[in-house]
Amino acid sequence: VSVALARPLPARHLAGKRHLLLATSHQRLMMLLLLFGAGFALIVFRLTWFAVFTSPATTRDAAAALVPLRADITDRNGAPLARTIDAWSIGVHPRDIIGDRHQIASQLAAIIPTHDEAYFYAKLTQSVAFTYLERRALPDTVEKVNAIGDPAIVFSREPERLYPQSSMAAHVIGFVDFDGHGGRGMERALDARLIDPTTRDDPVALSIDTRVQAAMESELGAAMTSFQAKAAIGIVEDIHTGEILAMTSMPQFNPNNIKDATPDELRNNATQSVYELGSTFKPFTMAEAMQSGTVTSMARRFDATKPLQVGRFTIHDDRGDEQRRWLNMPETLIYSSNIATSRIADLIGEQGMKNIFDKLHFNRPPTIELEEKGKPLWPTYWARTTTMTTSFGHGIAITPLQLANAYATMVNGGIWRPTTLLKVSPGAAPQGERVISPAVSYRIRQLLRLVVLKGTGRKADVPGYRLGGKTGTAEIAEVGGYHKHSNVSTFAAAFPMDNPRYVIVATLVAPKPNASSFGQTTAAWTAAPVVSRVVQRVAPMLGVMPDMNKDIDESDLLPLLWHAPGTDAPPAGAND
Amino acid sequence: MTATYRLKGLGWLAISVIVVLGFYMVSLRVSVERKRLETVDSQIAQADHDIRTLQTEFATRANLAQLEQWNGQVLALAAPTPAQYLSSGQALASLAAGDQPGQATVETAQLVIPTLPVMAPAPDAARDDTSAVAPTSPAHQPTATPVRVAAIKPAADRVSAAVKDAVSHAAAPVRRALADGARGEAMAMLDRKLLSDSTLGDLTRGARAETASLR
Repeated sequence: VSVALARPLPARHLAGKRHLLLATSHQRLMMLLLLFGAGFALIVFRLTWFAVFTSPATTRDAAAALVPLRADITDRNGAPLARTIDAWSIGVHPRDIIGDRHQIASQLAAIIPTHDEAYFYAKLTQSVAFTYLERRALPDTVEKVNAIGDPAIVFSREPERLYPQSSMAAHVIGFVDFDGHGGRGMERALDARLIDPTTRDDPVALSIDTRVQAAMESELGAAMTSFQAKAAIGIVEDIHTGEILAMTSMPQFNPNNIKDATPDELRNNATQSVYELGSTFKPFTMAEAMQSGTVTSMARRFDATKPLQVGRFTIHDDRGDEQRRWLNMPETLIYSSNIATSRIADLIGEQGMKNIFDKLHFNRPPTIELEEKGKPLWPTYWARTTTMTTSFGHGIAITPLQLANAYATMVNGGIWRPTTLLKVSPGAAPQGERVISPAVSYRIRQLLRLVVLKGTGRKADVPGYRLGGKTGTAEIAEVGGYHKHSNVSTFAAAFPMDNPRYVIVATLVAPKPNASSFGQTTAAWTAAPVVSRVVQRVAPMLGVMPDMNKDIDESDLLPLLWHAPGTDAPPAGAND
Repeated sequence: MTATYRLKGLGWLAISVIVVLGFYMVSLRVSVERKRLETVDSQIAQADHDIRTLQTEFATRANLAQLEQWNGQVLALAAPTPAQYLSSGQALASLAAGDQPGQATVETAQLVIPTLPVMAPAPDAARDDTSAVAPTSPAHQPTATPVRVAAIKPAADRVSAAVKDAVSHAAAPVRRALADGARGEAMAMLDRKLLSDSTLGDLTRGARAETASLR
């Protein structure tokens, strides 16, 4: 009994204990089950979520990958001027190099000959986490460098801005800085438009025509080299829309390799530099004289027999061009007489001269998308002599782009329009502002054509293209006066004169005389031939066909030109 | 009774399994088809990308400064003179009529041959001359592909090669002329790579013959 009585006690005790243990383990198992259940539910929920709400990877993503990070820039015909591509770059983590640095440096120098061993050794021993060895590397180079086999040397593909035409139109296009934003030119002016995700799929079409630009650059470059000029500027503009078809400023930089560019090269002389452009201003004086009614007859004559004395200033005619007689309006322009032009300006008066310059926007920076703009030098004090000197382009300095646009205004019927570097679709040209009447504009066209036929611009004549223009040679202003032997030689022209379509301006800064110019540095011998050659190369491409049987009617002006007795041609003006 | 009832249930099951499987098969086929379409689409996108890179490469290799340099050195093509343009069929007919034997007039047109201020390095020019004189050297058979551009693998990677070339060769010409001989040598190598010597020789001879006939 004692056993029977005693035994169940521990057994019951044991059973209770086991029961407790079992309950705990059940509880634990249950918790584990719930945990697994929760995990499972989470996965199922997530999968459902993906299945319902996530759109699968489609070709739309592949197409989106094609959209460049920065919009392309093309010329007016769609030829690429700037594109973003993937380029290889070779970099190194100098601290992680395992191999012998000297040996790697010599191997690198053998593969990449642009730098020597010392350069690479310096790169490999820099105390930085990462540095580039070569950017825009060739695939071959990447392969060879990979064969060196050091794990610290890494390769990657990076989006790079490429300018297929290299330095062509560099000042117009500009370049992209290391931060990915435009540094100059249209890359800077259109930066927001180029990187905007909604618009970067569409290329931006500039008004530039690569063929015209290339012809201008090659001819201007040849002239600049031949005359050892310090700088050169060339502009071609559509006179009816204000589109710039070519704009070049030399010296140029290469936007593909911007770190080698000098400040001189980066300067856009066409829009940033201001020059006194000399006799190219005379047509503006003529236009104002006719527009204001100061001179009503082309036969009216002005005294150019001797230098003009105004106060303590004396206005001379250029050596070789003096006629020492009374000159009428066409003769004044043909022989580029400073004296006669000054007399006309004196008649027009200060207000009249200010009026025409103001209407031609010579008192403010050029109107163009570029941010590189220079402010013209407008006379601070306007004396009687200022009125006279500005009439032949001294004492007032403007950018060559403004000169081109002013010539466009003179010959297009008298409407000033802002210049633009963006392509203008047909019929979308801005309204513009009227400066001179169509009749005066027609007279100016006749006069400019006469300058090329009979006067200082004969070196620029291209048979068949009916070119008309004006030379301008100004001495470069320096501290304490003008430089006697250093000129800014400009030729501004329009063609074809019977129905003008394009204005072309070529400027050479400080050309040196050579054999081909017979020791001359004036515009007639330096800039005019450039214009002549460019016109001959580009005019047919621009749709201007040469025609020997067409020309502007000069019958009312030709009888006004004086002939020396016994000759049937007016005396030649030697130069500008 | 119960057996048929059970069989009926099994039949329903079988039918629904077949129907569901059928639906699934259709859906599977559609998705396979869609997948193939997507592959084609991505191939198109890839091809577009390749076209773009190749176009860029072509534009870079054929940049106008490079073309003009070749023209200045070898082809000597000139812009047509105004006299070479005829306004009408009548003008053409009168031109042909005047071209009688004995009274043909040779008009020496004022040629505008674009020349870059850059001159090829002297050794290269000499090499061109020799190849022009003796174009039948065994190394350069006339039957060789004249333009080797075509032989370039259309690999997208090549575009950076083009970049490289463009950067070094179409740089500011004046500066290049002043640069040391090593760069000039690199320039000459590019010329050789793109146009074989025999082709250059032929072209030079053609240009000379033409110039001589014009004189």
